[in-house]
Amino acid sequence: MSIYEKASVIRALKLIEAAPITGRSPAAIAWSHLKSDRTAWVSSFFVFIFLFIGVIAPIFPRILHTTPDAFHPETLDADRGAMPIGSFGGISTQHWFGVEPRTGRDIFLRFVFGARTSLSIALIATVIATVIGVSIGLMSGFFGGKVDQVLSRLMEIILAFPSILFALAITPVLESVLTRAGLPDGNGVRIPVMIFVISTFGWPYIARIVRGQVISLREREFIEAARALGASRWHLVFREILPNLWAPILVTVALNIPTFITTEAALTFLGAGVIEPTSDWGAMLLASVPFYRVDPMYTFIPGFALFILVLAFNLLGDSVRDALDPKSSR
Amino acid sequence: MSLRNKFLASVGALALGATAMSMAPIAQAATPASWSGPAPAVKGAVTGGTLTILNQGDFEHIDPARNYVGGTLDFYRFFIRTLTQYRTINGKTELVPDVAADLGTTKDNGKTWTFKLRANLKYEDGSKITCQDLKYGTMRSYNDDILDGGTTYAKDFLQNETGFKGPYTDPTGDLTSITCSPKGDAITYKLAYAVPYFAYVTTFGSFSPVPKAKDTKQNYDLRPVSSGPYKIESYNRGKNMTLIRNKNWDPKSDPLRWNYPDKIVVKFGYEQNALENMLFSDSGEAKRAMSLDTQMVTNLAEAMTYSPIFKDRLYAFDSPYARYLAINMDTVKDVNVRKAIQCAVNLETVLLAAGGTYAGAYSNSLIPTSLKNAYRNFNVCGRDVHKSPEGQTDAAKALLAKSPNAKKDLILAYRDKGTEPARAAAVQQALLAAGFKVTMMKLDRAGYYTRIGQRDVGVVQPDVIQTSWGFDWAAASGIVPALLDGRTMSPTDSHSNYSRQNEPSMQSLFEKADMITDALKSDKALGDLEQKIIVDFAGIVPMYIEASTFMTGSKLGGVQADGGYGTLSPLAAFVRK
Amino acid sequence: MLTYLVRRLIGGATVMVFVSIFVFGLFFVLPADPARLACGKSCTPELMAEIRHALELDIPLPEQYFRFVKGIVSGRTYLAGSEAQLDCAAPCLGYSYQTDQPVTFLLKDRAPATLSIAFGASILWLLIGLSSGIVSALRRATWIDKFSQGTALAGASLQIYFVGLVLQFILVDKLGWLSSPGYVSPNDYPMEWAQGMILPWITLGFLLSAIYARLTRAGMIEVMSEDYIRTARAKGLSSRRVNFKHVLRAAITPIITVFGLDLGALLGGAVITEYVFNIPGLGKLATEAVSNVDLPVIVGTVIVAAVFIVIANIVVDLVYMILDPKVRLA
Repeated sequence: MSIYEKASVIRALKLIEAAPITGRSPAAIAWSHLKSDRTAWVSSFFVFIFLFIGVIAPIFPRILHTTPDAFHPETLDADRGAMPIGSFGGISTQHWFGVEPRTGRDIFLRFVFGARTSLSIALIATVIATVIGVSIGLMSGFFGGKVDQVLSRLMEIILAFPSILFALAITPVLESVLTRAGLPDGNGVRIPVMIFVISTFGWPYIARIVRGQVISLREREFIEAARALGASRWHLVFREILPNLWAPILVTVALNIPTFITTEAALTFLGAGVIEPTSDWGAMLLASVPFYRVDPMYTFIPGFALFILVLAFNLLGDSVRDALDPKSSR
Repeated sequence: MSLRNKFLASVGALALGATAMSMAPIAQAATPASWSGPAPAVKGAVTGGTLTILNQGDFEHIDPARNYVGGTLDFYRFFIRTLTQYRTINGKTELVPDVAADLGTTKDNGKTWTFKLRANLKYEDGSKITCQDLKYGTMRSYNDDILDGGTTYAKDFLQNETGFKGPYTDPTGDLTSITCSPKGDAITYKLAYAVPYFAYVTTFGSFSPVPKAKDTKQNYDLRPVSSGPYKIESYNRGKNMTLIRNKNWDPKSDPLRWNYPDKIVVKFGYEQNALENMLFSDSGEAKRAMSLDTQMVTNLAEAMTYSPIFKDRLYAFDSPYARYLAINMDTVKDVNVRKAIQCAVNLETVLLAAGGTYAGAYSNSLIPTSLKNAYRNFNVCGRDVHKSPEGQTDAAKALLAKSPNAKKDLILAYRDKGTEPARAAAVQQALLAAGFKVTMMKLDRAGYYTRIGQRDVGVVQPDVIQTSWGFDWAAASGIVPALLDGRTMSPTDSHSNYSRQNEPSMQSLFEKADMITDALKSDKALGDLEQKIIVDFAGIVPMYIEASTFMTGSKLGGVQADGGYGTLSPLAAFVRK
Repeated sequence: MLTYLVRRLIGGATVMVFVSIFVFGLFFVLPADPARLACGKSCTPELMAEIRHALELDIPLPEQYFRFVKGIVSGRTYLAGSEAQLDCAAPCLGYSYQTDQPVTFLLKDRAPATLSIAFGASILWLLIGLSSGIVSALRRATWIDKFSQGTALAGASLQIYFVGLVLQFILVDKLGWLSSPGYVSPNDYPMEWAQGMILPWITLGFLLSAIYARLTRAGMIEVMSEDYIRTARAKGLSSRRVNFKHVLRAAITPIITVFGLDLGALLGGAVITEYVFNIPGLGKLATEAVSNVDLPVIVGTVIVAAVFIVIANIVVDLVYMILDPKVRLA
């Protein structure tokens, strides 16, 4: 259930009414709005930090002289249920975020590599969902008629599925298909399945918006004019309509990325995601549940990070949308 | 008995404490003097009140033909009686006759067994329990396509010359290997081969009386007819069960059961952390309650550290569960590679992943130390694992160097349950350090044991399998044959022999052991056999024997660890005011 | 309007047909062989065949699907004519592999818990969301506005499993203000029922209220700047009357849309909520069924959830149509 998607639906529909302002190109106007928005700067910064950490993750094992998967039995108290020694979950100069109970693995490294896993899966799924969503939305909106009916029906069917529930149920099914086809078990199978599932349930949200935009755009004068001048359909789609779609596409994607990220975390939390020993924020949250009373830091770290990241994307998406919308009602 | 792990499956993590209080009772056969009821009174017991049992999960099945889970087999004795049963008094467990009047006699060295039956036993409605009912109870277990989930010992051991398929498929057929005496006061079982320990096998539910007229097939699971001290008043699956007194149960006919509480209420659906906290803090309804499937996990360390305070309601004992890795001898053919795996595994990190000191004790064998005749304290990878549990990485590397061309890519299978993923990760890291390449194979809980047993061509087989075993009965014969005898396998299914052990030299030792009818000598022979398989052939990497740690409410008494099932038993429980 | 309703119903039914075919096909075609799973220890090929026959898996797939649909519409009989014949009244969704109980019974049994969550949480999120949004709109640009908006943003960015665990930690474990969350029947123990539901209600209520706050605020601000509102105020109508009668009424439509969709999705089984708070509802039933590979239950829960979503969509469309004359006359 994507909460923020609802807002984007309503708001983006209102964007249809917005007429482009003559003078500076919309892009230039939007950019100047964005540049002066302080919240946009701060949230971009956070987004960038998380992405950056995910990218440079491999250098940390060298700095800390250990790996995210290595067990450190000496940091655990065997007589106290194998809990980390020391307060705040065993934070020390060697283990910046402490260690995991029962395994002694370094939480900072697992967090950083977990960011890599969670974010890459979510972002790849976003790209795929966007490509599919835009294409189908374009076709549906532009060609109308039977094509639109069939594609809209398809979107409706996919949206009727209870997404998390179905994703959870379908993941082992798809995995067994791939394994039987000969692919080796493990993350090699699980990651593609996750990406497939997330993007399959994600593209209709994007397609719906794009379709709405295209429908309104195609009745506009400039399209009529181009058609009168003898423009081919491909020209219309790629030269006239698509360039005018970038604004709503951008906004929708920005507002949907958090959903992809949280869906990935939720699916892993529910057990359908990457497996040991690969680190992932959802997996860390899941693993922390039995220990949240005696080692709350273990839950807090990935949970809070996820919160900040989603918040940052939401703020950024808001800022982008407001920058693009001349009738901003803030 | 790997399916018994379902019992522990609902425990969040298996962290427990083997302290000086550990009780590991063994079931010896009781002397005839004690075969008659009533069961000796429990010290300080009071009659009356309601015993509450709080569980995370419902019982898989309560139909006696459909159960194989320790906790349920222990509990359902409140309303199910079997041919023979275990009785635990003051920490000592013995085998006693239950519906039978003796522990069976054999004139042909164990191929035919005759049990005298007790007279005048009644069901909850006053009707008599007959020898025919006992026979029917076993016959219906043959329809395991409908009545699935139980043990297959009846089918495995009894002769079946007519190819009887079960009363639902074969309504006119008969299981001729079971016969009742003309007066109905004795029952005789003809076995396919000699089984010296058959009296232990008849503790299972497929040797329980079921009146044919009341057999509701799949629905019998919701309301079996009671022959014990309590009967089912209501059973809402997944929610609760209420037992009330069975007036037709005669304590004088029963040497192993008590009936102190007026009522027993079982509630399902609690969550590990919440339930554990309730029991630990003795709050609310937990004061008069206990749990069959929830042990101390996050509260474990505190419970064990301050154990003197809790000693009246803290129960810590060795469970019968041995946690180990089975090395697939079909796919890992090189014995040096297998020995290298044995050496590489770091037992310290595995036990930590399971919960530390109180989770259990390192073990070098699948046989618990309490089975004194069968247990051997040998070195694994040249060292005493109790003293040096760390992985012997150098030794592992040296062994691998001896077989440079052997395969070093391993698939490690584990179940998605409790501490198993963390333990599998520990095993993986240890193997990586020795130079192996390890792919993880995470499998669902459901059907795990079926999956890891598959030997079909075309099915990807794991090389190292994380699994566990709780003995079917307290003797080496309840462990070693099931887990290591190549004859139990079929071409497509290893059954419980996950190592797919089938070395000719070992098999001839199994055949020799078959000939031994003396239970004690059989234990010794099987113990030696197991040692050879582990040390010479490296078919198994033993890791640790689990410990169980339970807490009950302060108002309960009479709760005890049951040596037959390795569970915390409510059978003798009473509720103080 | 009637024709519209009929068309939507037919559309909804079509969607459900596709969903059911897809779900049925996917789950019954692909994964671990249920006959093998049920077979157990001393499995022989004959026994597996017998079990397969008992589970009616040996008939051709289209026939299986047909019987499945017929079962839903008018009931079915398993293993007709044999000793183990089993009658299953409509709507028949099969029998659980795990507990042998009828799936319909299980669904009916677990539904009250999910309904309880949805009922309380929805009242709460509407209350919180609407009042927060109204206050924000009326006190625009003051600190109250900023605070409300900030809270709404936080709510939209937080995750259920994180907030749930944190709240549980604080309220139940540390402060002891609440007892552990759980479900008891409100018919038997109304007080305990409410107490057990407080934590899920608060968590869901807070998290889902975010979008309603934003929609209300945005909608009201939009309408408040309309001419007819100015006219009403100029005419001397009190602020209160203007705000509530005219402004809110106009702004309510998107809120109803989103409310319907949220409720529909929630009724299908709040999977994560029920997992975190251990509520035995439809979502928990589904997750248990997934880990037990209990196919009939999985299929049953997915289909029921999809039905809720489809119905919610239809209802929302109808309400939209009633409330917004522009749509009705189109």
